[in-house]
Amino acid sequence: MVAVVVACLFAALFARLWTLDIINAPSAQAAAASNAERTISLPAPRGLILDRNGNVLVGNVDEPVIDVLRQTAIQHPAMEERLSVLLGMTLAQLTRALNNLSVSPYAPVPVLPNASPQQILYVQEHQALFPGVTATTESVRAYSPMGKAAANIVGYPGRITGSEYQRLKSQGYQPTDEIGQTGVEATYERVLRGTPGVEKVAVDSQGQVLSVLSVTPPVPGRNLRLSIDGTIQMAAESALEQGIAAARTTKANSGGTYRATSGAVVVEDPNNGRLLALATAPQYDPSQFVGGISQAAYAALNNPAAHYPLIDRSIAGEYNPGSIFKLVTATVGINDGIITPTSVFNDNQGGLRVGNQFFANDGHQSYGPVQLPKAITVSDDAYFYHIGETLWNGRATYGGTAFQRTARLYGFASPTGVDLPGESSGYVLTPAQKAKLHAQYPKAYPYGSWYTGDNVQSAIGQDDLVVTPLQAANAYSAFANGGTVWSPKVAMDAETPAGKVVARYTPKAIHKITYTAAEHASMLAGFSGVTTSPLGTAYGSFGQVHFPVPVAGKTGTAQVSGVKRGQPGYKQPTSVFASFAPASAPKYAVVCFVAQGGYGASVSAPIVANVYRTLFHLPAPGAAPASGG
Amino acid sequence: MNAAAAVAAPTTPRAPARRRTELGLIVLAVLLVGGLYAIAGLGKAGSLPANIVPFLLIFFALLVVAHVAMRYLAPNADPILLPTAGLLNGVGYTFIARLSSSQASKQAAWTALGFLVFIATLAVVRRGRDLERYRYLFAFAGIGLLLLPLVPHIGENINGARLWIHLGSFSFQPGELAKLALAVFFASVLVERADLLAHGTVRIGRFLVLDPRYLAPIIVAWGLSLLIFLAENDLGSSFLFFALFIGMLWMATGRAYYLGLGVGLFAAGAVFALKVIGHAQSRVQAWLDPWAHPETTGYQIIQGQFAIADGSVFGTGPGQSNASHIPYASSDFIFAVVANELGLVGAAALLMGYLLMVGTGLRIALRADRQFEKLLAAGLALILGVQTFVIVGGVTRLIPLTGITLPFVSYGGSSLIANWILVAVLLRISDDTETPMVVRPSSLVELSDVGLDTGMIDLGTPTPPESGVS
Repeated sequence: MVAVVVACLFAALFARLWTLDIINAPSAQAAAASNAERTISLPAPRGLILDRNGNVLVGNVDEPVIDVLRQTAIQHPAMEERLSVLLGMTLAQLTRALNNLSVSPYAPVPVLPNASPQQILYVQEHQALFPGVTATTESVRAYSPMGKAAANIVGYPGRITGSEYQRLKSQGYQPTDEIGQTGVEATYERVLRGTPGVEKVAVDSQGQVLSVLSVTPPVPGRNLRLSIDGTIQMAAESALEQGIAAARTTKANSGGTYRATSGAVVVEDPNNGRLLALATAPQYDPSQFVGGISQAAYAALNNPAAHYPLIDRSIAGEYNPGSIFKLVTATVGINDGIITPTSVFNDNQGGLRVGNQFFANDGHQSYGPVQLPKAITVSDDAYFYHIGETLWNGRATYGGTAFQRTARLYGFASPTGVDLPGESSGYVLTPAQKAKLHAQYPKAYPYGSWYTGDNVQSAIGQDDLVVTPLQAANAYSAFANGGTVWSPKVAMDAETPAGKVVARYTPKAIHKITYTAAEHASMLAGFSGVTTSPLGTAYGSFGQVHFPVPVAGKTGTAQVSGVKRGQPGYKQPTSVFASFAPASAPKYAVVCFVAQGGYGASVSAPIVANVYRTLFHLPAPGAAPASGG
Repeated sequence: MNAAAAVAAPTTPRAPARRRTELGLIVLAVLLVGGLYAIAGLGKAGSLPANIVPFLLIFFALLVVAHVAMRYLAPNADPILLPTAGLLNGVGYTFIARLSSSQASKQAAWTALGFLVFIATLAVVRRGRDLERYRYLFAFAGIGLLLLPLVPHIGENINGARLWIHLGSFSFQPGELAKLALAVFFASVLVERADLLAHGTVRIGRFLVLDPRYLAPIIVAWGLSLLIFLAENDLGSSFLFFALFIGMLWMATGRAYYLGLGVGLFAAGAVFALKVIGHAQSRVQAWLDPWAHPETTGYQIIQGQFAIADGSVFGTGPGQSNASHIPYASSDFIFAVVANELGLVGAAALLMGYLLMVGTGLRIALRADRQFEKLLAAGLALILGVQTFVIVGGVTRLIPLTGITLPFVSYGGSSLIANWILVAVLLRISDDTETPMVVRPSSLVELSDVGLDTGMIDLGTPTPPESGVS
């Protein structure tokens, strides 16, 4: 009986084997046969990123890499051991690299990016010892000095993430593909990426490639030409760096020196909204991201002590604009008839009393009878306080948000729509927004009501409003060109490698501000006086050194709202200068912001002057003098 | 000394004939293994393995040494077991060598050690009945071996099961030896109490039921070892153990209700395991529907199924399949590799080999004179058969997969050593039986009324391999 039981058990095993081998085998084999064709994606080199003059900002280099065909490696364990010794890895590390499941089983697995020339040579000379191993090259990003100076604009590509892959695999992305992460690498991903090639191969049951059935070669990505001028970008970056370094040795009113933590310079062509430079400080080195950034390097970039270099301050930095916002105040004053080019305001107190509160000029300076051009040139706060006060007290006539409406018209409080990811919108609070913020965050916004004083402070660019450097440049461009507000762009066109233009990118005009000739001339006279009049706040950087190009502009020294001087967390004022030149027929608008940099006149104006020197091919200054104001 | 006597007088005229048969079968086995090794080398690398000559010489030498030892130590023993075990061992080695060179060199060392232990067992155990005298020693040894992996620092978890002990660079699965020790213990205790276990002595209502006192030592040993297996998370051995216990109880008493009891207990245990052990749940799910999680729990089974189907009738040829990517291809799933490369024909031949060994074991049991040897031989045959059934059934998805070795073929030293001991003990019993005795102890004749002699082991039912030999 035991024998019967044993016989039964073994009979069951035989029966099962019969089922698997004879009955089920045909369907399994059919399934296997349909898998006998494999497609391999051949990556396309990304397009180049060029500046407006055709200089290469971002190119490609072929980086040596050692690839291993997994199917062959399995058959040759001895090869794996030899290879691990050659590459200085343990066998376990090599196996882990080989088992990287994100690589197709039929595509070679890159086991050592950045292989040394000796390793490459050894593999090539001893090919018989290394079946399935190829020493080959892989196209990776390379950055010219201009490209490094424009890191925030060009951005960098990186390995596609799991969620991006899920979203994009229908477009032919592979799990190992690179995809633009920031900058124009991200916004113009479709242009730069190109079309991966497809290789169809026949494989046997062991997954070994028998023959190549068809090959569609990859089509390289289009080259992207930017309106950025590499020379200007480098000049703006270095002027900004020098200015920041100088500020850090300048004594601050609050004691110590200025911290000058970060800053930005924007250069825009006011006539068409194209951007020529977007400098940000601190800047980062995009070549760190080639082949994947190391943990340590990434941690260093996100260390608070490094002031977050990955944030592009030119489009994402939000700062109180200070006096440069008087452009908006003057415009709304004129449009609503509160002032005229010739109306006179008598500033005899060095400030303005509103109710029981006194709003002082900087240094309690009083300027006597003041007309609009002088008010701009000397930056007479009282003159603009008066406009803010009148707007609010006469809100029955002007509406409660006349000021904010005009600010929006200039492009403030909403993204400019520039073709770069991560742009901030800034804000110019309305009474309703302030009440809402107070209701939501009573601690951060202790007052919900809107007082006349709020309008008075807004009128000189303080307190309830922040702007990005790009918005400021765009607003001054609008004034410079006679009122057209652009949605600016950094990209000009997409070209084939041969240089044939296949797509053009043109900034769009989004608003139109109207001035009468007299009004515009009056304001322009004010802005020109800033640099040319001995009374002007930026005279020290321009008129005093006989700057040969007429520059119109406005300084700003913005108190950072929140913490009072002397208390922990106090931030030094933001140094701002907004300008355009030549004043009569503007070709460039240049804006500079330096956070915790002190006076606009002493830090930002000299930086902008240096940028103009490059723009107009002027000689470097002997000694850049700086004066308060 | 006994050894001297045996050397001096190879006792019966049958002995040389049996040993000659054995030698012939050994040559056949070496030729088969050599051919397979050569073809596997050709299939994999396109050339004959560099070490084929030393490999064949050493393999042949090991078998011949074992054979010569048999001539002295067990001249009248069965001639089939040694060549069959050697053949399976050689086939197993060939497949391991084809899968992993580093495992192959270890397995070669274990194989040599296995032969040594085989000879040592024959030399030490001069009579089967000697084992009976040390039954409690075997019981404690068995349970001690089972407990060893639970000792901190020595024990080691591999793949969620705690079965291994680690001493320096040497690792071992003591549970493999424990099976043998406990089989000896069960056999001795069951033989002693066969009558008491076969007939109820306690009246409950109209029924006579067993007095549980007689079962106590066995129940304790069985429960303890089962608990230990569960603590070590080794479902395969747990089941093997249980089947061994129930099977031996059944064979000792001839009472079918022990089988019924076994099935009932097994069902209860299975339900318990499913509720409590996550490991068991996922195994059953992977058995019923491996495609539910094809990348994780079902992966191994699916790959095994593909490999078997890929083999079809005649296989891809040794060394030519892609089966090496199956997880644990050289141990738990080596049968799938064999089926892939040798096809239905080769896999069936391999199973025939096991059937031959189990059948021979049962025949040795049948012919044994003494009750203890009968039951022990049958138990050992049962271990071989059940183990083969559990792992092959698991790999072919006939039953849920539990990780145990395919005897002699799978990679793993502990299992190999234990199986060589098992064969040595079977041969010892066979030699005891076949060696003519001048005086037959009368006590042996009187056992005719217990289960084993009442048709429990029934040679009258023809099974294919048994009809081929005898």
